Amino acid sequence: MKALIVGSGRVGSFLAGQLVGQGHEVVIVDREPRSFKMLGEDLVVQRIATPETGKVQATLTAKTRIRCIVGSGSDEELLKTAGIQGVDALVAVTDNDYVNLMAAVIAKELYQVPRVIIGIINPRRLEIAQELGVEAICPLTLGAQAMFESLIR
Amino acid sequence: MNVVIVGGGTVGYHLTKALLARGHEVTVIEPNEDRCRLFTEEYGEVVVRGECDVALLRRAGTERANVLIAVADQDETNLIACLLARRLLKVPRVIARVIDPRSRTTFEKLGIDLTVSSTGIICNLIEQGAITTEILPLLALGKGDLEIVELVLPPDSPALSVSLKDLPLPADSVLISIIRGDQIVFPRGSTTFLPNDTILALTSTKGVEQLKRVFYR
Repeated sequence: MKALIVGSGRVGSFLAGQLVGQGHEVVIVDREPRSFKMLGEDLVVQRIATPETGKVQATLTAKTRIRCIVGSGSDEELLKTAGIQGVDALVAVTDNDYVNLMAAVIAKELYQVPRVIIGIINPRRLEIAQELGVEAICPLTLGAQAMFESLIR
Repeated sequence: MNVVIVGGGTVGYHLTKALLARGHEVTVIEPNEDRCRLFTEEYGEVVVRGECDVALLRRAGTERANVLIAVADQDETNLIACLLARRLLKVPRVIARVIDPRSRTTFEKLGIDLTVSSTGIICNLIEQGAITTEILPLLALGKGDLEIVELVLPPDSPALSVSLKDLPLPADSVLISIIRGDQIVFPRGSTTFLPNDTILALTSTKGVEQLKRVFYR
C-alpha cells in the first residue's frame, strides 16, 4: 500500500514507522522540517523542488524509505507533489483539526483516494467529520472511554 | 438579509458594521473572548462565542441565514464553515475569504465558487494601475475577466467630435451609460460625447487597454 501521511508529530511518525515496518510505502508531509526528526535519526537529506514554487524541499530517509515533504497538508498543489493522485490511503494527523478536515475533503472528493482517515483533537469537531463523510478518530475520546471501561470493570 | 459571519477579526468587525448599517441581521461566530466583548460593546448581542463547528453554526441560526461569509484567519476554517453551511445547513449563498491565493482553485473545485482574496485583488489593481490611471475598475465580474469600469473624458479626448457608432470600440465591451452633470444619458449610435462625461462601461479585462486608446490621447 502507498500511504500519504499529513503531520509528522507523534501520531504521524509512529504510524509511518509501523507502515514502513510492514513493507508499505510512505510519504509524509509537515510544515515544519524539524518534525521529521521524530521519524528516526538516520535521515539522509535530499531536496526536491516542486514545479510550482521551486521551494518545497523533500528529505529521504536512507533506511526507512520514507519520503518527507515540507509544506502545508491543506495545500492541494503540495499534496499533488506528494503524490496524492496515486496513493491508496491518506491519513491526516496534524495538530490542527481544520487542516486535517481540509486535507481529507481534498483527498476524498478531488482525488478519490480510496481510504481516508483523520485524527481529531477536539471531540466537538467529530460531528464535522461525520457530516462531511470523513472517517475520524479522536484519541482523547478513545482514551477516556478506555479509562472509563477500565474503572468500572 | 440574514447574514452569518465566521470570524470576528478586523474584516469581520468592519463587515458587521457595514451590514448592520444597511439594516441586515448579523450573527458573528468568534472564539476569542476579548474579540467577542468588543463586538458586544459596539454592536450589542451579535456574537456567538466558540469555534466553528456544527453545533455552533446551528446556534448562530445558520439554517435561517441567506448568506454565510467566512472571514476567519485560516483558510481551512473558512472552507469547512462554507462546506457545512452549503451542504448541511443549506445556506443559499456562501462567500469565503482565502488567504493563500493557491487555495482559491481548491475552494472552487469543492463548490465554494465565491472567494475573495485580498492578494488577488491587490495584484489586479497593480496590474491595471500599470496599464492605466484614467480607467477606474468598479466591479470585477465572472472570474475576474469581466469588469465594469468608469472613465472620465478629458477636454482633449479624441472621442469628442465623433458619434458613438463611428468609435473603434473593442468588440468585447459595451458602454452602459454616460453620466453628464446630474443627467444620465443612455448611449445610442448617434450619441456624441462632451468633456467631463463619465462613462460606465462593461468590458473584458483585455478590452481595457483598447478603451483607453479610444477615449484618451
